[in-house]
Amino acid sequence: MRHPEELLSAYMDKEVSPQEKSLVESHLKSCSECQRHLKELESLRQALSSLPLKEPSWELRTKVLKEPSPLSILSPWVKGLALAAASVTVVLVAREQFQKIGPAEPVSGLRQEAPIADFASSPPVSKEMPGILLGEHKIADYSGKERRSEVQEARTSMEQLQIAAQGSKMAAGISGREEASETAYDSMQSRPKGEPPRLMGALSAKRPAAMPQVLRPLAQQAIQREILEWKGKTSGMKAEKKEIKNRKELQRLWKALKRKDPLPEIDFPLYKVTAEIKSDSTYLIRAEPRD
Amino acid sequence: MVYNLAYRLCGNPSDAEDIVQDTFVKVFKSLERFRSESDLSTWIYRIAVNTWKNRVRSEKRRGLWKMFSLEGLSQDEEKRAREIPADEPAMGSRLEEQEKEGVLQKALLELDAEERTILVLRDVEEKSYEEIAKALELPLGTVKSKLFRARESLRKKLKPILERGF
Repeated sequence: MRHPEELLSAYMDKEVSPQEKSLVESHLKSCSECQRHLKELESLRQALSSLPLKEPSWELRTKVLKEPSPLSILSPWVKGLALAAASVTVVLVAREQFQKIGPAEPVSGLRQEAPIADFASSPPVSKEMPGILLGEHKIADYSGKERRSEVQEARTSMEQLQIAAQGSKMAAGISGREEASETAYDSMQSRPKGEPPRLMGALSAKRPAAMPQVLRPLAQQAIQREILEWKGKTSGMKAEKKEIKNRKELQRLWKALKRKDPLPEIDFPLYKVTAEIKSDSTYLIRAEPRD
Repeated sequence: MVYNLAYRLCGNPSDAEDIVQDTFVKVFKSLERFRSESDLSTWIYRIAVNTWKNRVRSEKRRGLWKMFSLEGLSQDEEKRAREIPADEPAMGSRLEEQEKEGVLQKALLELDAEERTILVLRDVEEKSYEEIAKALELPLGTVKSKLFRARESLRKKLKPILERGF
């Protein structure tokens, strides 16, 4: 009997044609040797996929993020945007100072004063967005009557964060763990349902793929205040509470809970993730910044 | 992502850090050439793997590369790998996690560079055949056959352990 050894590996990965699949399956029914072979391959794959995830040192992460001179790597378009963002900051700081001493003006005038960067094309930030804080200021909408300076600051931070987040997609490649930036970015951009809150896959050519690094700390400050939660119902899982230490554990949990939304990318060194299965068959997964 | 890949390919943290750093210097420099038809992560994987291969080549020429010897492992893993060679598993029922990692890493380092890359991308990074083919610019059939060979090689090497269940 000829053993379809070469097909077993691809069969295990479900990467065979329907004909190959039926050939392997009919052979497996009568061949204990190939059954054992397949079992060993599965055991090997399991062992490899459960190897602990190696994390780069913080020194490396910092070093890599600092590697290029911010403006040297930017395309002219992004350079313009970065400078525009900086200009907006200057205008707003000046404006705030002016407001303290001068007559108040409608906030809507802001855009006319910062024509370089057309942030009007950015989607409006909704008050309904869940619990996102930038510094001490809750994100607010310009359409309201709020005229407090913190609204402007929040808006500026938001604009900076948007630019920074675009660049941080690139930086996230360092380990895939910088993707928490994207989570914050995406949630603020009203990411459509179903689109994964991850950094790498979401990149499109339309977005500038570079980042003025000077903006990054601001983005991080915002992100570090974010708490994410996922809730739902489950069945057949015993009540317990435990910490999820890495992406693989989270992936397993995601599967066990049969969650259909894409796996979020979480910066585990920065965030503590806990999963709680309650006695009433509900569960709560919570990611919060580590102290 | 890139660090984990680099670590599994070269087997030690300091080389992995160098590879990641070199990779990102290249990524930053050639970002303008990135085209949206390939996924960014695939593109970065490709740069990382090529960076590693170039490094192996140039260090081999200079006689510095140690990837095929136990010296390529970090000290702890080297110690573990010596204590528990793949074909002589330790007494006792199951290997401890750290021992298991040492044994697997050692076995990975004994694979040919291309087979190792494909196996790591598939079973450690959990990439699809298509993604691997794109990242390494190889035909799908080649990915399939090299993956088969890599797994067979590891399976034979680790047979005593696999039979007991890892």
